[in-house]
Amino acid sequence: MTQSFELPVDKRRDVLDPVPELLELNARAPLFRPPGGMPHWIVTDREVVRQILADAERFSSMPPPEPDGRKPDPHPGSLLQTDGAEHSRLRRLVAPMFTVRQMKAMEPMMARIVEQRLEVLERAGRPADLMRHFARPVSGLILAELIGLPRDDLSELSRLGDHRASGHSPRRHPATSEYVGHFRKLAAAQRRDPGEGLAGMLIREHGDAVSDEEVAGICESVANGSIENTAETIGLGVLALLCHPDQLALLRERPALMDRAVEELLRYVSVVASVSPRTALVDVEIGGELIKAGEVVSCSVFAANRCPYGGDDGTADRLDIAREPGNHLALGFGVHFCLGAALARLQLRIALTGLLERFPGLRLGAGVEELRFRSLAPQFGVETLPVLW
Amino acid sequence: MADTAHTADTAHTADTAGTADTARVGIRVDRDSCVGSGACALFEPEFFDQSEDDGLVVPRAREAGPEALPALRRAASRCPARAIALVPSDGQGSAGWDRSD
Repeated sequence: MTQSFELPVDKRRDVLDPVPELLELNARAPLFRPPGGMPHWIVTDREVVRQILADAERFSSMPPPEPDGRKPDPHPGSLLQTDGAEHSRLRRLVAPMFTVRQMKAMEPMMARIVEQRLEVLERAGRPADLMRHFARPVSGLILAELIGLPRDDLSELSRLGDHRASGHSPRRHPATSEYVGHFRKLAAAQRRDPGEGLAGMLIREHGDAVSDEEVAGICESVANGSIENTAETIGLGVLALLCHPDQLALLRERPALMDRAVEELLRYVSVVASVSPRTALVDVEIGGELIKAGEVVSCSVFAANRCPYGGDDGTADRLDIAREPGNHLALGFGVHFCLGAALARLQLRIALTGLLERFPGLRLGAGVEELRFRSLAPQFGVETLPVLW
Repeated sequence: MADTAHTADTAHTADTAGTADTARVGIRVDRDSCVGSGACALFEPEFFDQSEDDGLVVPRAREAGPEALPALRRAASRCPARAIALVPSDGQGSAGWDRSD
């Protein structure tokens, strides 16, 4: 796999597994100070991660200052980078669009898109790249329908998104301002003629109580939180199943396990290695350490989901699709818990079900050692996933 | 009726000792804390729903029999906003609920 020599330990993986250093650090203490720079703390222990993410009063989600001390630009409508009452206000504007029931109502649309992309994948011929022909378009097209984004915009956004995933400082790259600008244009267009998607709904239901900047910020948040997270989870989820033939066979034999398999794959691949950083607002004693006011804390969801922890049954590192769905942290925890959790779960279920039904002989079209992983992207993932059937 | 009411209490579960196998449990939700994750409605739809208006939790029942305790405990511990609490259903449970964590 491609690995930068400077990649921090919580971003490194041995294919799908935590690297030994991460396991060692986790065994030694629930949190540690990585050498130099930010974050000041990396937390790997599952219970401490839960405690911090649940404690929005003492841990702020506002972005920390840039390394040069500059205050980050304000980002209206960003669900992940707001605190307290402002966050609740934004979240409550959009939460009704993302209920389990609302997502179920979109199931036929999702199934249609999955079906279309299965056709494309099959026509692409063997071996076909699952990421290019299936995982990325499926999550992108579903998100476009949900937000009310024209398809032309989607290909442009995906081009810009690729730049963002290349590891450049996400808020400095020119593609970022273009990307943000795209959502601003969408909001302005929807203000003139509100459509059926999320952007139009926000404008129709809330009128001037929500600004164009906020509509743009909310749609961008939703797109950021959805497109790549889901695509990479589909890709790595399929890879995890193909690398565990016993689990794949079990799922084929007992399709009723699909909901559990989705939860387990979310946990196992944890594409978001660490949730967005939190800044301590006051001194906090936690996990036997003192986090000082102003220090930045990175909670490693991947470590929390995959490393052994106190009270663990010793199987955290094993893929077990029949496992009772537990309290994994792949979708976060606390007030910033993934807004699109129901969307993600349903998409994964439909995509994986469709894929397994269409291709009973699905298998890897390359050796695992040949795969290239996206280690620098905000979401861990695989660049291409050649499959045969 | 299994004696699930006597299994170890979790942080989210009030003490139900002394009420034996027939103890019913009160279900309390805190809509101020709820973030509309839908984790409860998805996994335990028998007991929880989400409002069409604000996406927040709507309990389908105010209380349940002891056979429901394992499911309710799972729902409480899965809730990312810690907005679900279980309290003894003894007529005092409605006098306000305690997040207990």
